[in-house]
This record gives sequence, structure tokens and C-alpha cells, in this order.
Amino acid sequence: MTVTKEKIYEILETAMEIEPGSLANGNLSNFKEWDSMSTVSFIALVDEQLQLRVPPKLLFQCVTVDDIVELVQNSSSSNN
Amino acid sequence: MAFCNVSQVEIRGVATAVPVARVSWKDSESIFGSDAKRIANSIGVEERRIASEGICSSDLCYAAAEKLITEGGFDREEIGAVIFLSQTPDYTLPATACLLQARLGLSDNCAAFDVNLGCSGYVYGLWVASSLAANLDRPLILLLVGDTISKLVDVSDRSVSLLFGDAGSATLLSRSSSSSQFGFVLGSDGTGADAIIVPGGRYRNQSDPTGGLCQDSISCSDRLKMDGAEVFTFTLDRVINFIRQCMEFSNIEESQVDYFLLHQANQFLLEHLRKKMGIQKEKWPIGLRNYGNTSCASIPLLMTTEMRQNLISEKLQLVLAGFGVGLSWAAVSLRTNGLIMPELVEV
Repeated sequence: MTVTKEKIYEILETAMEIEPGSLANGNLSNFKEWDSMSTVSFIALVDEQLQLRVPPKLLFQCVTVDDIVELVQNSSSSNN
Repeated sequence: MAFCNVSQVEIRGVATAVPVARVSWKDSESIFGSDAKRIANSIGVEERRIASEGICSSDLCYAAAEKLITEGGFDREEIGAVIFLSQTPDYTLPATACLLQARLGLSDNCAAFDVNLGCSGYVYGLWVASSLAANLDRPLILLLVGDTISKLVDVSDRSVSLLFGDAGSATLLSRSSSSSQFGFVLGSDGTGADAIIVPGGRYRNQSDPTGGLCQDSISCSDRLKMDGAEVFTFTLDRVINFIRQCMEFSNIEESQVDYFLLHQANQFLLEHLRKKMGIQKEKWPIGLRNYGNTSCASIPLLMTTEMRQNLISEKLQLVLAGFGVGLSWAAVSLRTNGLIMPELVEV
């Protein structure tokens, strides 16, 4: 089942520690909260809540918020 | 994955030493601003012990070994080998283990050699030491494991600056008449070597005009580089699997394990792994708060600071797991039978 965009936004907001419902698509470089810590936090939350593994190299290639949505929707299972 | 059983050996005692100097995350607020607190909260490190210029990893291991040998009443003549496991030796050559053999007053019939490993190193060291203990003509093996990673850290690099502390340890192993058995699982994946690396200062990249002596903390290549996201993903991919494989190899269930002692990488990661494995907090001690990530010494430091009374007075079934730079990983299932555990030494 495809993970919804809304769910991925919710996880991104948690990882970036910003207000729920405040995230909109845009260039990631505009978000000062999107840094090395929130990146790791995002990978952990996706693993925990969606059981999906996000490859860091591809995550760092994302330019916009919706690039991340697409990446997560195409990620493989993280169940060991 | 490599699997290895070593029979009829035991750990007799463990001691650790840390530098006396303490550094808090608050000392980094001038560099990182309010992010210093945010980072410290996530990694779970309040303060770290940092070696002064004159203190090397070998000095910390030496202090720990002296304390262990003296307090345990061990005969130095019975030590048949000394292994120094570190990424921060005294010199490129000779092997630091040779210097420590002399400094500790060990016999010249004592074998001495170095091993270069980091976060997985304590378990690898136990593997080498226990394999020797089972076969050497003299009964004791001295395993010295320690690092002064602070000497490799660029203080302005937020991925490492607030995380690493320094520590050294000494572990004595011996043959045992009991049926005790160490069950090891070991592995490595060098395709991930770039995830944690000091690229300069040795022979692959000798172009550094400073000859490896860092003058400029930003550009110098002999500083530690860590890709936190890659390392985190590596641990998610590997650690749970190899801990489970270790238990399976040793025919033990999770319920039979008294404690899981993991390399103290950072609190966020350790908590994530624990929840994913569904293990109770009480069985999964975390000891980062006062010492940070002390590289290869983090497991023995955890034993002496968080587990000391338990290890002195109880018979325990443990699973130890190290993972990180290399990339490299190892776990061991073993039983302890009341260890000699001197109090933490400050140098």
C-alpha cells in the first residue's frame, strides 16, 4: 500500500520539529530545520512508523519536499 | 558472517581509565548556539572526558591495567600476551603493545601486538584474546582497548564535536576449567569505509603539506569525518540481525540474556534499536551521559560505570555488540562469574 503524502509530511514535521500542518512543498534549502540531525531523525521515524528504509545518499539528493515524498513512496521494506 | 566458538576461557577482570578533564556541551554553545543543547539532548551526552596534550590512549590503558593487575593480585609473569587495540597509537611504529609490555613490567616472553579497530573493537579484541588464551602456554592474556578520538575531532564539526570522549580499558582473560564458552559472530563491509574516516595523516593521502600535523581545523584531512545518516542506516541494516544471529549461534533466547551491552554510539540510535528489538530498558544499559562515545572503550567503560556491582557479585549471561568504523561489527555471547572490577581510574 502506498504511503500517503500527508503521512510523510507529518513525519517530516516531527523530524524537523516544526508545527504540525505547517509544512508545504518547497525547496529544502529554504528550511533551516532540515539539517543533519533532522535527516537522521527522519530516517529513524520512517523506519519506526512505516517500516521502510530510506537510503541516505538518495535522501541527500532530494531538492524539494515532494522529492522526499516520492523517495519514501518508492523505498523498500526495513524489516530485518 | 564469521562464526566462532571459543571454549574454556573466561574474563577475570575489567578496569577502565578516563582523563580527569571534563568538557560539557555548554562549552560548545559559542560555536553551535542553541543547537548545542539540541544535539546534546539527542545524542544523550552531557559531558565528556578529554585527554590533555600529553595523555595518549596508551596512558589510559596503562593506568587501567596497573589498577587491575594490582587490585586483582595477578602475577605479571603469568601474562603470556598483551594486545593493544586502538586507532590512536603512540607512534606509527613501533607497536604500542611493545611499549606497554615494557612499561607494565611484563616478561620478555610475552607476545605483544597492536590491532587497529574502532567501535567494534572490544568484541574483536575479546575474540583474539580468548582464542589465544585457549592455546597459549601461560594462563593470562591482557587486552588493552582504548582511544583518544578527541585528538582527531574538528571542534567546529557538529557531527562529531559533541559526541566523542576518551577512555582506556584493561581486560584480563584466562583459561578456565569450567565449560564456559564465548560465541562470536563477526563481519565487515569495507564498501562503507567512507562513512567514518580520517582520510589524511597516513600513506594513502600523503599530499597534506603539514605532513599530517593539522594547522587548520577546517581544511585539514587528518580530522575525523562522519556521515551520521549513513552510519545510522548501517546500524539499522546490520545490528539487530547480527545480535539475533549471535543468540541463535549460542542457542540462547532473549529471555536468557541478563544484559545486552552495546557499543555506546549515541542515545538516539541505541534507543531506536532497543525499541525495534522489543527489549526492556533494564536489560539495555546506556552510559553515554558522562563520557560520550568512547569508541572501542565504550563497552568496558559501560561495564565499569553502569554495571560494576552486578558484574562483581552476580553470574550473568551477557551479549556484547560492537559496530561502526570499517564498517565492522561483532557480537559475543558469554557468561561472567563474578569479575574483578576496580573503580574507575582518573588520569
